[in-house]
Amino acid sequence: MISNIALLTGLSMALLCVAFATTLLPANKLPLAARVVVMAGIALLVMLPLSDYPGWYKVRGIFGDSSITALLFYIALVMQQTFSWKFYRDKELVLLRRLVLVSALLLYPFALGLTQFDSYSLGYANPWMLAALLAITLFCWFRQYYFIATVIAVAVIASSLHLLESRNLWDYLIDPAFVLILILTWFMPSATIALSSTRNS
Amino acid sequence: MIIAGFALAFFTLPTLPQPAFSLPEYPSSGEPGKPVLESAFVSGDLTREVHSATAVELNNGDIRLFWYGGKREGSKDTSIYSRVLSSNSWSGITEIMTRQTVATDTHRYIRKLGNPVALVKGDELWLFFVTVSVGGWAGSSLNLAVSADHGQSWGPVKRLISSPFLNISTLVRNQPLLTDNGDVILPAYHEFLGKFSELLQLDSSGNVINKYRISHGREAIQPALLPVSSEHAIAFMRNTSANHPGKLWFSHSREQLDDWAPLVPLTLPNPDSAATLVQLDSPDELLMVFNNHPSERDDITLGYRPTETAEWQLIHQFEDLKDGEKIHNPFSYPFLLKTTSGDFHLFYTWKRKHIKHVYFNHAALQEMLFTSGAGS
Repeated sequence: MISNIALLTGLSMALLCVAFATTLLPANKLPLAARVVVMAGIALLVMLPLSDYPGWYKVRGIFGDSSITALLFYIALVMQQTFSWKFYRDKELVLLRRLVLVSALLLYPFALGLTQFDSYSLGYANPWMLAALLAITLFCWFRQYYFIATVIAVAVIASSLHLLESRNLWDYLIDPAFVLILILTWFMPSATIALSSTRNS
Repeated sequence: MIIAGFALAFFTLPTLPQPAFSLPEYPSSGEPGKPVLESAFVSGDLTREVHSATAVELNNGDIRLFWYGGKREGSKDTSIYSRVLSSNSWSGITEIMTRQTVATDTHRYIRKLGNPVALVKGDELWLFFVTVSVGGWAGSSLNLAVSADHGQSWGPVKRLISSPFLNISTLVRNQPLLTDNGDVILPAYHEFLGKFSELLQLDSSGNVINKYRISHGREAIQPALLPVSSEHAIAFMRNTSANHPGKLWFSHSREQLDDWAPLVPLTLPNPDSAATLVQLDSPDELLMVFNNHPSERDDITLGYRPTETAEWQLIHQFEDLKDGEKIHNPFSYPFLLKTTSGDFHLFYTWKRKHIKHVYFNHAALQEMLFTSGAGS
């Protein structure tokens, strides 16, 4: 019997795979019903046991858990690309990309041993990091970047409630798959077309 | 929601005081008596290859040994095995951790297991080990299993989160330490892109709550950590440097545990291999088992340092590859355990085929010191 936490984790892995597919496939060229079938098919493939374990065990083994901000973005991205429901403005996606890429540059090289300073350790119970996030969140809110402000606030709440296995705030804000998907939405022609098409619809 | 969310976050933010080590006692002696030095292969023949032994003295005085084995080091059939030395008699070998167990408990695909490290924490026995889902050992993640019955049965395996980059490339090899508030300081190292050493601080539930970097770059891994006071520690590390190879690295913490002095090469050689240390009558009096060669793991040697400022002296050689014998890395991954009665148990990988156990008592150590001239 699969536990509720395992089921939710599996669903989050399915969402990650659907988000990847959304950025890589020209789904916007398909009719709505076909889009839904493709996305549901991918999710089912990931959730169902293919050998000894469900496919999402392998996805999780490779990517680890998605951050909270990533999960909220994936939901918004898939909804926008599949149903043309908009959760964020176009320039909000641009700012989100910039914020995440800058965060990735501040985080990964140092976490992987570039210097004696380890920016990842700032994520452990650090009031200054929390204060910096509050400032960014308030800036976004007052500039009407409501989606970004909301996802950061939800990530901070999730971190306080220890909803993921990690106790490090960074893990609620950013993960490598999130960075990759945001880059893909930037560079992949299909994604650009999809976004433009949605914008015009 | 934003204000409420951040208010909750600030309100629930834990305080992280600098860890203070719970210092071990330094029982010197052991019973005076006849020197005893004996050895045996202890890993049986369940698997073709074995590696990375570690051991712990249980609360009842028994010694529990762990290692991993399989067809070969990275094969899919690797498991972690264990057995107990009780009243000079070894128990049967038990397979305590398999790929399937860990995959089921952590909800992740697991390709291989390795490097167990154990700790007695109150009435519990904690077992840390690495698993890999994709790629080689650089793709390792840490796991923790806890036993409430001295290792006869184990609770569900918990995945430790220690890196933001896919949570890969954190490994363990050497003994953790306890702090006075019950936290665990786990020496760890990274092998993906950077090769460096660090310390993970875990709370009593086994969550990583802080980390401290000992080194950076691609220089030093597998820190052997020893407390020299409640707030300070020293670390000896395996040399992985391309620029400064061949010498064992040393560092010490300065004002706080997150402030470590730059790496210093010791006079002792190091062929990019693990070393193991214990403290004797004082925090500064050390025994070390290591490969005494700058490029080959052809020997297993015992070194002794009487005081912080003294030179290391070689007092015994447990293994020395015969002239003409050609085996890649025949002797490696030593693990030295000093018991509360003052005896010593050394375990190491013997030609990848066996875990060899060497037992020597305090009288045997005194004899080695005397014979080598170090104890005069």
